[in-house]
Amino acid sequence: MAGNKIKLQSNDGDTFDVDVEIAKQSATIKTMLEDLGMSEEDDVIPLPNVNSAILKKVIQWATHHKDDPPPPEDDENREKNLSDISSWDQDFLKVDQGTLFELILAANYLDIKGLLDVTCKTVANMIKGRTPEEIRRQFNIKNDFTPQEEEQIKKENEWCEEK
Amino acid sequence: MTSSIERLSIELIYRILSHIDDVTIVLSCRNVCQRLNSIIETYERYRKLNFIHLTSNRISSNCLLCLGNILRRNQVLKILKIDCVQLNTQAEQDLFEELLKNQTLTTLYLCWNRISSQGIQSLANVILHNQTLIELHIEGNHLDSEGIKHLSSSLQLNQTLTILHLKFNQIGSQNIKDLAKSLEKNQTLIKLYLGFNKLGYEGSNYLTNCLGNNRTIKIMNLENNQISDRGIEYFHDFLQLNQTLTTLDLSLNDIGVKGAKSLSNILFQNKTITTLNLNFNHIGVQGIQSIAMSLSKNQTLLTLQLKHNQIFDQGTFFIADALMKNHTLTVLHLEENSIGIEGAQYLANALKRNQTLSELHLGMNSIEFQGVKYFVNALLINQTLKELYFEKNNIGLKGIQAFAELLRKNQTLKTLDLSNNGITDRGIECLISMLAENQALTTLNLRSNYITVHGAMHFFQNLRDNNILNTIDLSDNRIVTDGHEHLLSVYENTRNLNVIF
Repeated sequence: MAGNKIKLQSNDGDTFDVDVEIAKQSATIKTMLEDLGMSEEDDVIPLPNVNSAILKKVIQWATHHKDDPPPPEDDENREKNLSDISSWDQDFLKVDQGTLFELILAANYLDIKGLLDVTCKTVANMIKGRTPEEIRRQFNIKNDFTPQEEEQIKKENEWCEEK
Repeated sequence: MTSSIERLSIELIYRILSHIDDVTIVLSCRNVCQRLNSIIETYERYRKLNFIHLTSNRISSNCLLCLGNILRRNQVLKILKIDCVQLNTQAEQDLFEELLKNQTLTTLYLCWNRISSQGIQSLANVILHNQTLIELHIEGNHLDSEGIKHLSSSLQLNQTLTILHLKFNQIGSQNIKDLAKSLEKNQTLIKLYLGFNKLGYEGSNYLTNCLGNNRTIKIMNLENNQISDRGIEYFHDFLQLNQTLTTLDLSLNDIGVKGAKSLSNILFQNKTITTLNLNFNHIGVQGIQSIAMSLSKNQTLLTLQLKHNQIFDQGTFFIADALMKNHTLTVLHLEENSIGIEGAQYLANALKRNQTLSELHLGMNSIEFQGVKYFVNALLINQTLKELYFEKNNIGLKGIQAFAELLRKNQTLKTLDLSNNGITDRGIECLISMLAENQALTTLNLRSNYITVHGAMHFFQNLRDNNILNTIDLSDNRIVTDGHEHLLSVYENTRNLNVIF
């Protein structure tokens, strides 16, 4: 069946011709093809949660990784480090934060475990070794602790001075 | 709208957290924002997190600033270990302020951090007020006299701390005064570790004077403190009074013949000490004669450690004599004492009579195969010795042949250590015949010998009839370089066996 292609359509209407074997790295697409019998070349698979730019990146990633062995099962307790990410993936993920998070969402929606892993690891590496304030700045997160809570922390800190 | 971390679902945040170590989660991810906090609080790994270890290679200076975060709001953390991290003033302050309020931590390690005098004072304040901390390690922190004073006055009033480690702090004879005085009043501390300080004989005097009436300290470690024969004398009166101390570590203290005589007098009378560590002194033949005399009478001591004490064959004679009369000692360490064939004969004869000793450590002597023969004869009769440590005794092929013969008949010995004895494939081959008949040996240590993959494989293949042996150490042999994989597949087919390569 090598060489068989299917069409993937992004939410902004662009269609992409992709080798079936490459597209099947997405468990979501694989299920659609198998369960719905969508194997005809003319069929278009709509992906309403993914835009063209991201879908293009996803296809690029899946094409590069088409011969990878299947990723191992999840292990919650395993600690990871940067060396786990191949240099190709590191280059591939040198993107702005918006794109990185879009890729995570797309990998999650399309259920591509390898891509989800490598993107989550990349975010994890952006967190390691930083203070909470640095993390807020890094990801543009608002410090939303209520004044009371801030006050509470401050008070607690003064506690021993008052003693 | 551009995507941000805030758009990710809880499951995706969990997934990111699964790639982050505990320390980072606690130090960096907590207190970033409300949402992340609530997600972390429901995160399985965080909820079960009760131990954190910070050490220099895993922590950046930035992280130190939020050290207080570790303890803030976390209600599960029980053990906090901070090793080799130079804490700046702000981090110290943060940490001790949080510790003052914390009510979950039970064990705190602050080792090799060069805590400032101000920091020690704050720590003393923690000890004074905190009511949950049970175990405190402040090793390697160069405590000055001011620091000791503060710690001491807090210890006097503290009623929760039971284990205190103060090793490597250059505590001298004067500084120990304050500490000793506080321990006179303290009624909670059970284990005190003061090794690698500089108490000297004067410091021993202060300490023993104050602890005579202490009724809680059971374990005291005083290794490497320049106590010397003169310092040991002070222990006599102390141990006549004190009825609580069970374990005393006096290793590496320059104890000679005179000190051994003092210890002998102590062992004649004392009825509470069960473990005495005298490793790395120079008790010598004469000294061991005194100790052996009291050992014949003593009915309390369970463990006696005499590694590296220049005992020789002559001194072994006295020990062996005592073993024939003593009915309580279960563990004896005699490593590195230049014991030869003659000494082996004395000990072996004693084992024919003795019915209490269960562990004998004879490593790094020169017993050789002639000496092994005496032990083999004795262990055909003895039915109490369970562990025999014979590492580096140059027993060779004949030695292991003798042990193999023994193991066919002896059904008591559970652990045999023959590491570093020049054993080759022919040696391990000898053991195969005994395996079918032996029903007792569970642990066999053959580390640092010359066994190759062929010898090991043959051994495993013939292990089928034996269901008792569960651990074999074959590390540092000649196995790893050739055919490791094949060997693994052979022993994988062998039943519950833990093999150490």
